[in-house]
Amino acid sequence: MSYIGPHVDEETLELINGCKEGNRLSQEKLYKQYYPKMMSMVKRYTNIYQYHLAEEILNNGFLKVFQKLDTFKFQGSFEGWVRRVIYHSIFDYIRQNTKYDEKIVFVEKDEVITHDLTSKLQYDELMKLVQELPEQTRAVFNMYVIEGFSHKEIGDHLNINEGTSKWHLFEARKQLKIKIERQYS
Amino acid sequence: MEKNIPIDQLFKNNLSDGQEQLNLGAWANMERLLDGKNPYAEEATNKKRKLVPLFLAFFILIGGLLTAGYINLSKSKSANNKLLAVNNQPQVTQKGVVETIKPINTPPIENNSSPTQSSSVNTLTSEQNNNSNPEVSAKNENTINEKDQDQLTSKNENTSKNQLTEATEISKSKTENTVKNTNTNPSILKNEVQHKELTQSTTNTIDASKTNKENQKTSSENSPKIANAISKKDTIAVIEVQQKRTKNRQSKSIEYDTLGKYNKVVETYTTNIIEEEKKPLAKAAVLNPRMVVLSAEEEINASKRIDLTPVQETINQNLVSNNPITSSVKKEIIHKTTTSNNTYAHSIFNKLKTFSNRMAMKKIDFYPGMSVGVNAAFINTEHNYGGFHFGLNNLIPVSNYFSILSELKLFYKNNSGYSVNDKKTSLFDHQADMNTLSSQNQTIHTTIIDSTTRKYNFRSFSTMELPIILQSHIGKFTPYVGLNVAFSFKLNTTSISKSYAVKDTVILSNSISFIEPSNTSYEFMREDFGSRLGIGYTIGTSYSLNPNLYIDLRLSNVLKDNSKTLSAREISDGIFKVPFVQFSIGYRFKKFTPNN
Repeated sequence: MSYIGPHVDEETLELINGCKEGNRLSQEKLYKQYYPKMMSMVKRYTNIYQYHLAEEILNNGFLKVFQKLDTFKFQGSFEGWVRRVIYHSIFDYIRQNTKYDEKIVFVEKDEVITHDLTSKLQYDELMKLVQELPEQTRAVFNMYVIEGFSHKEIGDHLNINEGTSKWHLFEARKQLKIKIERQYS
Repeated sequence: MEKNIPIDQLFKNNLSDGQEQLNLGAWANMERLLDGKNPYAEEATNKKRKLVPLFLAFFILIGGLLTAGYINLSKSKSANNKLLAVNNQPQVTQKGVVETIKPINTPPIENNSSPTQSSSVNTLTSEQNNNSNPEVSAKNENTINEKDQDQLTSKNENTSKNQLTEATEISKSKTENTVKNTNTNPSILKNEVQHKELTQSTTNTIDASKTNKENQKTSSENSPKIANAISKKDTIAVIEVQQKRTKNRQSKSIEYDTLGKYNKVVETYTTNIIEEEKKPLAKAAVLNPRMVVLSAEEEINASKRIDLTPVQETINQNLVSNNPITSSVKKEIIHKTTTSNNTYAHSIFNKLKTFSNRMAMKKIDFYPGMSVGVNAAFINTEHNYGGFHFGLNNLIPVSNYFSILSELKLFYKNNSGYSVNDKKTSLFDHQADMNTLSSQNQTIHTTIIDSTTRKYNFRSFSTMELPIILQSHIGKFTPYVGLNVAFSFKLNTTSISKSYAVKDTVILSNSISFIEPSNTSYEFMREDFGSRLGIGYTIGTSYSLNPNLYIDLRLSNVLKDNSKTLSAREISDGIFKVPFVQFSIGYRFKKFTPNN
């Protein structure tokens, strides 16, 4: 008898057990169950024309998920655990392929836009705006704004200092505001 | 009232819980990963593999061009060197031999002997001497070095010194020519002409130095009369030269002698020496450093022209009457003198020779160079292409105002936004609800169509172009137009497929039959993105900054290519047959000044 955590339902448990046994059908079901959310996460870190790259990062992450299912202790959300594994896959890619120059930011300022514009901005439009950001800036913006990492954590993950992280965040806000106002106002 | 929202909050609210549509192809790749295969690594390897032949072809091309250029330069240099060498050395041709041995007070004569024999004429003797005493006749050593020089000095009353210079080739020296002065009175020749050492023993041993010494002869005391006769040969048209070669098989040697002295005659040939226009002696002295430069008085004496026609006729008659051998020779001489065909043939020959020399001297100018630049699609709305290019070129001037430029350029063009979209549909389900609207005599048709869209995307594409351009030079500007042969390499595309289930509801009257939507298949195949060859035009202008450097602006487009299928043509229209603007800066390795 195994311990079932509060965030893992019966269906997910069956899938996990099936995946542990190497059942391809279970793996497919698990993959397709978490693909939409995980893919959305990965896409935010890639360029709009890098769909194949996003898929590669995602699949490498899922491969780690299937290989490390034994390490899942049922002590939290299984989705959160999968998300963290995929995150590591993303960070690995960014560390290997993105070079950061040291930057210094003097003013931290949060940009705002008018409420009228928000009605025009849905998921697809916002995703496109994020994907159009420069690679380094995009990663910092996603990690800080959406994932909720602090600048220190971002610095640790990406091997950059906090100032550089702040500068990229500042740049991302500025560029996004300009683009939104230019395209949708 | 306007309400502001922080950007961070806007993105967090909308993106944190976002979901993407499932792509079935992604699971297929995931399965390969689970099976231990890496589909993404294969793609990267294929990319590298595809680049290898490209770079290889490029380097071979550059190597070929450089080699061709080097060979071309070497040829032109060697041609120039040969011409210089010919001008600075005694000529060994038929003409040249006689030119170099001509006495100072005799006009230059031309030897018409065959090329294989002509280089060994080095003996000057009289026919009577040959007939009476073979030892008196001149036997030339078979081996005469190319650098040999024979000087025949006659103690002439009129001319103090005659120097005969001859250059012969060692490989062609196994001959002997006896110059028979048929225009000289035989009696005079018999009684008065004596050669001290005009005869040399004939051996096959090649000894250049010995031969050189032996061939330096002085004429006898009676030679002045011969010299007089020779010096009066201004109007003598032909001198007959006869030659015999005797082969001694026992000693494995070949001997050369004058007429009829040996039994084993292998071959006999006749050489006509025709009078040639007198050339300035000073020039000859310059051309041949071994010639003796005459004083002014000697030159005047040498340039005197004496009409010896009556004397010649007398001599001819005497020769015929006294000597049976020379009678036949004389007939030949007279015949050839009276016919103008030989002279005409010589003039033709001289013209051909002059022409060949000019062709050898003429070199076609090449101006190789290279150029680099940037390019972009001319109509930049849908086709967002742009990149760089580089290549080699070669300019060949045709005239002062026109030239032909051939180029070989490699283009790298980035794509930002253009993709090829494809779709296939299939009817998944069709339900006809006749109950709901039965009162209105209508049926609700609900169809579910399984639709899959496929998007072919590519980061960049490369082309290799070979424009051949006719240029017109107007000052520093050079407008041009030309043909452009372009080869487009295979497009390296990545395809993205997405599947949708489209539900459609149609209400139709029961009297109208429902037509189910037909299934469609993909329009494009992988083969449609293959390489292709096209031809088009290029037009533009360049501006010369200096003789080496120029800038160039042009428009080029491919009008027709070898794509066969409709889908391949559609891809060509969207990618290959797009007008491009190119801006280049070029450098010529040789200075080229238009209109010069």
